Amino acid sequence: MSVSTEPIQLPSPAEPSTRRRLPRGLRRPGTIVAGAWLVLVVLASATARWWTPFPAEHQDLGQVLGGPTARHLLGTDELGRDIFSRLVAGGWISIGPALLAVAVAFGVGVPMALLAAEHGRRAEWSCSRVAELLLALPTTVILLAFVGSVGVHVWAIMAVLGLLLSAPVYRILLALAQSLRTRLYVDAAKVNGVGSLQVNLRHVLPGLATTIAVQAAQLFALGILIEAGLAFMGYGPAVPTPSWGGLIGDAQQHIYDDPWMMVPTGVVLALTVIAANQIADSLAGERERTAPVRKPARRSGRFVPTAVRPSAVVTSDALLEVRDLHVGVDDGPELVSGVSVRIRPGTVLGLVGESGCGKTMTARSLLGLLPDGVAVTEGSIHFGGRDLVGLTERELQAVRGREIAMISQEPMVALDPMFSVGYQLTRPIRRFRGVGRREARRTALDLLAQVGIVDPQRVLRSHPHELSGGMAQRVCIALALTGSPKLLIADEPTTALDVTVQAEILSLLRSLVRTSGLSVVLVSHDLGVVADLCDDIAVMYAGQVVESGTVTAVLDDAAHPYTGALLSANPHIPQGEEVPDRLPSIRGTVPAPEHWPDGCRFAQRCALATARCHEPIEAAPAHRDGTVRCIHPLSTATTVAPSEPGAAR
Amino acid sequence: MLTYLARRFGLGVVTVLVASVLSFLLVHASGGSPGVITAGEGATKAQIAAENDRLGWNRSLTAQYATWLTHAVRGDLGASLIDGHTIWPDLTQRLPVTASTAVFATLVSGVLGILPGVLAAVRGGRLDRVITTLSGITLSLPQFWVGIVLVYVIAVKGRLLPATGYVAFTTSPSQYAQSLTLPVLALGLTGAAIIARTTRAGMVNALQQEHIRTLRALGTPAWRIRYLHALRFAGAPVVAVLGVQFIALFGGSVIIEQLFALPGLGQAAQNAINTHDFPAVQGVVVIATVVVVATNLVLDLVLATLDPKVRAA
Amino acid sequence: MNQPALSVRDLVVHYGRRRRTPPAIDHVSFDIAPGETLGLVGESGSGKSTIGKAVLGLQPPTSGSVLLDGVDITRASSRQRRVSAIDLRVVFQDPYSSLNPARTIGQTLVEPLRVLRVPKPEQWQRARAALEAVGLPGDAIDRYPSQFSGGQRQRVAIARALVCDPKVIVLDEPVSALDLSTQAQVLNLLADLRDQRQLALLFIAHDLGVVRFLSQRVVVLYRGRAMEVGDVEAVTQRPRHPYSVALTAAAPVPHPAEQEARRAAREALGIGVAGTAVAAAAGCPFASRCPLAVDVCRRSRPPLVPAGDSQAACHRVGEVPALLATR
Repeated sequence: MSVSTEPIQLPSPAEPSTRRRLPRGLRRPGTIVAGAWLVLVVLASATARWWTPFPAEHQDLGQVLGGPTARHLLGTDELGRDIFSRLVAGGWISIGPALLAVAVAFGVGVPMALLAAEHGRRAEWSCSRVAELLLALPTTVILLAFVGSVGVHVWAIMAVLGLLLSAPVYRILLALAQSLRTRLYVDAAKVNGVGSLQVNLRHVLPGLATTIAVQAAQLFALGILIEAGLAFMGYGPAVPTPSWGGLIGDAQQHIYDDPWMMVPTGVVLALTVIAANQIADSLAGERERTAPVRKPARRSGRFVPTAVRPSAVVTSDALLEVRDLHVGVDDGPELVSGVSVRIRPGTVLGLVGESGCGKTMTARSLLGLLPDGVAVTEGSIHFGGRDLVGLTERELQAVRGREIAMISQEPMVALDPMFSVGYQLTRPIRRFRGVGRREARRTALDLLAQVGIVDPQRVLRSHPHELSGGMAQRVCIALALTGSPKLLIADEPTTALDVTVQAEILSLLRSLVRTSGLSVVLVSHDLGVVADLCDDIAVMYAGQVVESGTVTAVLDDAAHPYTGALLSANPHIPQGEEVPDRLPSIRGTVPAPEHWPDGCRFAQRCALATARCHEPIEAAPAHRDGTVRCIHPLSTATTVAPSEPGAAR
Repeated sequence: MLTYLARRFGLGVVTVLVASVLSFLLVHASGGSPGVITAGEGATKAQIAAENDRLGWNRSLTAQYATWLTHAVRGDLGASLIDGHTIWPDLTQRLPVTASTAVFATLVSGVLGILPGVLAAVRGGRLDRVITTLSGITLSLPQFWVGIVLVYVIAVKGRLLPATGYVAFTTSPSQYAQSLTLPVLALGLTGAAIIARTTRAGMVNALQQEHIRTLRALGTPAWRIRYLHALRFAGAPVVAVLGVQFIALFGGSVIIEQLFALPGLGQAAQNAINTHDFPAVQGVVVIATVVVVATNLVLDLVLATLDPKVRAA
Repeated sequence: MNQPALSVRDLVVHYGRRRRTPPAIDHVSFDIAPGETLGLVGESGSGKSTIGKAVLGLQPPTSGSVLLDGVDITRASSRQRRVSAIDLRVVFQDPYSSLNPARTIGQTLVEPLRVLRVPKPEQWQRARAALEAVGLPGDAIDRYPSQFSGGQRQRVAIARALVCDPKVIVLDEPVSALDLSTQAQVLNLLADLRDQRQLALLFIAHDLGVVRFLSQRVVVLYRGRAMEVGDVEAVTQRPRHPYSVALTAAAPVPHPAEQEARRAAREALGIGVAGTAVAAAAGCPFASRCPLAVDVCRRSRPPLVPAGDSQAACHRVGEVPALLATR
């Protein structure tokens, strides 16, 4: 007997392995220059004695404090020594100790972090106390005290610095190591019986690599600066030996008679530190989020002004009508192609589909809240006699909250953690309703009571982190109601909640619709949730609406094979019905937007597909008021699933 | 919250004690002895031994430390080996000099850092790149080198401000300000670069939070979202870095005080080290640690008022 | 030979060292026979995943025991587990975090075999066989997890569990992160594997519908305690504990007319709002939300008693059919 799923087609084999290549940040020209500079400085200074024009200690009292000449490229100092030669020779004594400090910092910090992350509370407590103590010691003063009592030993001083720096290293790596240890693959390795050392080496340390590299580059830069500072104060290598800090110290003595002296060393030192920091930045850049580039109000650019567009004349009784909406990534694939839906006043429209089908993008475009780099490219959204697509950011702001509001999937992060619930509720109430503080507070209490919160006084005083998921979602709904909107967009409002809490929230939304005439667009992947709350439904697949109509018509008599397949793949068997031995399943997965075919987008996965399905297919009327985008609609009454051969019994 | 602060305070006291023990042990591990210094040059071994006896150097380590500690808690850090002056009054006299530079440099780095950081995050695009590049270069410059360049350009060439020296505020407020301008700039510029970076990263992160989208969906005015909600969300790390800055500037002032000939704690530290004045070294370590610990406590308080989650902890 | 493949006896788990807080798991027991699937169902905070962790040795229990094929593995060290627990494997919920992104599928699959010191050629042969068993092509072995979709990754995770030829697999929410169509594929795969290989499955889930499809028996958990234990059809169709009633009533079905009736019935039950009151340590943890609760429910803990076709921990178990009838 074979497994009930046919072998899976893997994505294009041409995709190269992403490993064993330099991180992208390191391949940028600036970073290559920086790396080359560091290598050059180290190599040049390590080999200095063989090639510099003069020995570092060679004095020429006839050439004191001279500017750059052909003989002395960077001039001479107060003893007629060649600055260029001294600068090159001094490189290693500045860089080497900094490297030692970095090595010590990580030699101590990394094992400490791994240990504390692995061995739980007690080990973490002791390691963290030690780190806090080290962090609270004044670095420079401790180093000076060390110099004062033990004497000037550059390498020993920098080793002590490394010890002090292990504390911040530990701190940063501990947090990361702890989060890496919560990854399930670490648990899986432990279940496999992999030893503790191997778990750390194989599964935790590689995850720390980037951060270690970034930190190392930064600490290296810091080490060079501190070493130079110490040498500048006279705590560098013994007198005739050149070091960068010492050279700048010499330059300071001659600021009146030879200001040039401070230039070469300062520039080389600064360039070296800049190079190290540049490498750190590029390594970190792999993870760092970039600042969004603010788009000028470009969404209006391509559109004919609303007034002259023929479609602008709204004839239907709809509260909101979306026509032929296209949403796309800038210079990228389309995410929503030609969606048309309408919402009648006082009803709930469900947008359903699997992830990656464009339902959230459709919902978000109603408020003009698409992510950066994603925009409406075509179509119209009629609401209250206007086309929302043509509006400027400022005009949209007047619509948001007042006419259309939104609640989102993750109630726990949807509220500002820094402000009390009371502040977050009364602010928009005062803005929307133009009332004073006390009146706003009274309204807030009313709203909280309206969303079923039993002790609104207490909730008003609390902060978001003190609320449970269900409570937070109720507060979010109250927040959405502050502007008395006509339309509420609810994006998977119950997905993050427990099933009994979900039932409560659905009941609440239903009663709001009943009592206040609110309309709702509900985005959900759960057909049960849609069946519970919605009047109308639009099933989305790969950026298109494949079937729409009233919820009863579509769910009880699905016409599109995709809707039918979703219904039969649902493991929630109605009360009293027999559980099947195997679930009829749809083969494959939703294709990525760049692989959406020209014809029926479901054809590849559809058991009923014929050659004609690979040609473009228009939406046809169905379910009286609705549509279906299929040329082989399922027969009525029963939902025949396009099950695969293997699943049939 | 109170227990949290009490715990932090306890830890601070422990830190100061550890620092004092550490410096005490360092002094004793160094192999030198105070007798060598007080007996003066050319003293015989017997003279040195007698001096060491007088200073209690030969007693057990614990006894010596206990004596030092009991004196220290009464504000008596001993007397200098060099000229016999009492250390505590000397250090308290120097404290305002160092504190002035550190406080003003922190203010400068805050003001010059937060503004461009916020701008870079909010505007994005070319301005962001310019600010990021500039701050990247600035934070890589050695403070003492910036100091020398400033002295050359503003004091030597421009003759706008004095190159070195310090005038107390009580003597002449205007000269006080003039004497501090260059050291504060030298210290504050690199600090500002670091703050700009932290602020930018914090703002970019804050503006991508889910709750910011909730605010946008409510039609909240953009300035309110940016400068009230996002900035407060980004505020905690910025304040934390400012605290670290203050501590670093306090330490960094050692170099700057040498460069600008300011009679501050750093100068005292350097003098003590150069002359092997052990009690003075110990005194400076303790004072510096107390400053760090106090700063951290204030920082904890500020962070707690900023973030309700910390307050609840 | 009626020895259960996995047996959990009187399991108690406390988090942290403070014994004053109520336990995360409070005296839970169950057996799973070879070829059988036991569902552990509950909402967040019910402790269902904690039981899985305790069975796998990832969370040390306070008391109680875990027997694998009659062998006590409760406190076995990771070294001892290499020998005693080769027959026990796991599939986790999140297919994105359960595979190390820096290691190839092959490296991930052979890891347990390396620990067992299986000869190298055999390692790769078995890895390939495991991939084929879950419906993935053999050439997947040299790829990285980032090249697979969620459903495919979950198949890899199942292959990792199969590669040692185990007798018991702990499935910790294996399909809850997947889309509906993929979810059905993976559920079918698990059912096939169970039937072919006589696997004993401990199936942890929050979704009663999914549990009903895959399991023969079910344990309903609430705040660390077993509220109802029994045959899956009995518990889901004729629940005997008020919490099971609440749970079955809350799951929506994709049929508008039926769902409307279910909703009306649920709202008529009068189940209290979740999370408003803290449960009394002494009484039934569900008492604060229970429409049938009386004084005794808040004072003493009900034991599991036979009720209808299952066992329920409820003082008022006799009233539950009436509660259902009124709706």
